Amino acid sequence: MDDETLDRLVAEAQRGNPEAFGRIFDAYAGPIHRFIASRVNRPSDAEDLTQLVFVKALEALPRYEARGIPFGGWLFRLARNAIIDQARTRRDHLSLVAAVTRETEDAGPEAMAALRDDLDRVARALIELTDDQREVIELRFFAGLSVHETADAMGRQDGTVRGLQFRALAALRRSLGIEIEAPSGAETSAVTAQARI
Amino acid sequence: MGYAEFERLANDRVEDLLEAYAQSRLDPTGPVLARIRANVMAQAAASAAANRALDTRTLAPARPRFAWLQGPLPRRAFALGLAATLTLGTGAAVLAAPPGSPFYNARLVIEAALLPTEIDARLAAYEVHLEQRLKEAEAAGAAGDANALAAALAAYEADVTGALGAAGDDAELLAHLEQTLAKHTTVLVALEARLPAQASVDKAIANSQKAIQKIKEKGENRGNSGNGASPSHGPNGQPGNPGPP
Repeated sequence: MDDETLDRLVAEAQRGNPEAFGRIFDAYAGPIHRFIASRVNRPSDAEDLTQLVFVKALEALPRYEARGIPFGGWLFRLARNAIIDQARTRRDHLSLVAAVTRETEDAGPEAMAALRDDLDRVARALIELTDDQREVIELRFFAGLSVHETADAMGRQDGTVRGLQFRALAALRRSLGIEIEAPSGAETSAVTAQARI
Repeated sequence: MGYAEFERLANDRVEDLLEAYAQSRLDPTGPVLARIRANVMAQAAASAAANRALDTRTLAPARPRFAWLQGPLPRRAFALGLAATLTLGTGAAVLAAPPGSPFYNARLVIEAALLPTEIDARLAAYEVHLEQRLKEAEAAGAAGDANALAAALAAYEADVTGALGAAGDDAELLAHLEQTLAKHTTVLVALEARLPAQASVDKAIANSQKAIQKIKEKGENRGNSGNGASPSHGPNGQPGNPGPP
């Protein structure tokens, strides 16, 4: 969705048009769920919090003013606050390992095992990041936000986000054993093959 | 190929892994997303309905008071005018009475008395009333007013019965009413999911489903007896499709 369309939908939703809000929901529900699911223990919590974020967005929308604040950044800030509130009240530990497991069902047993192994390694590698680095990865790569939107959601500068992302990717490369060298081409992981099915 | 290019390729592999991880373990399933959407959109519709209700109740800005009384207005004409204003004002207040207010039942009686007699127009008017009752119920639910919610849903049920009677045995009108009631049932189910347990909502859903069942039975009976109705008109009084020549 381009910025112009988004601005128009936000303006219509602010005037109380539920259909416009529905289109905003369709654009952001998946990324918001991804971001939340990466930070809570239970799939049911991810569902409840995703719903809560959009209900809060609906309530707060009349007070939202664009003025250089990207809508995505604003929405993910609501999501971030909802996660923090839930963690405070439930005393949950944020866990990436416990994220819902739903590997591709139509793969064979060996490919499934390889896929699960790769994804478990990703989960462990993410846990080894600092909190800030992990949040940048979640917002940039799981939720698909721009650097500017990520910076706004985290309350940081764009340059800080770029630095955190650089260091996070370097740490992930090390953890996952991905060397900076000419790829052989034949060693494509089971994960990347499955992801593109 | 320089170091920066190799680094970019390595990062691409990390990003592929992250995307695979997100797709496999973080994406919501279809039913989960549909469930969240239904609840959020029901909330959005309720907010919109509540805002509309608030807008209609907003008072007009005050005019300079009693300026017109400065002139030499005869006392009798003033008394007559005042009486007429009070009558019209009370009527307008009754017709705008929200559910749960003392005038709501009076409003329902007046609306029922004003229903057109012609079948198509009558059913169309019932449908307008049904939509209005649902909006009132949603607004009452959003405001947490259980009495208003029960009043709006009781009126909704009465209108369902009225609409069913108005449609009679006309197959086309009944099919249209069935569709309308099915849509309304979805709204009611969403309302039920959003609110704490409310017997009035459960009852409205049950009655709506009963009405749909009755329509289906009417259709089956018609099919069994081979005595099909021959609808010639739509619910809005428009002529039906005459079909190919």
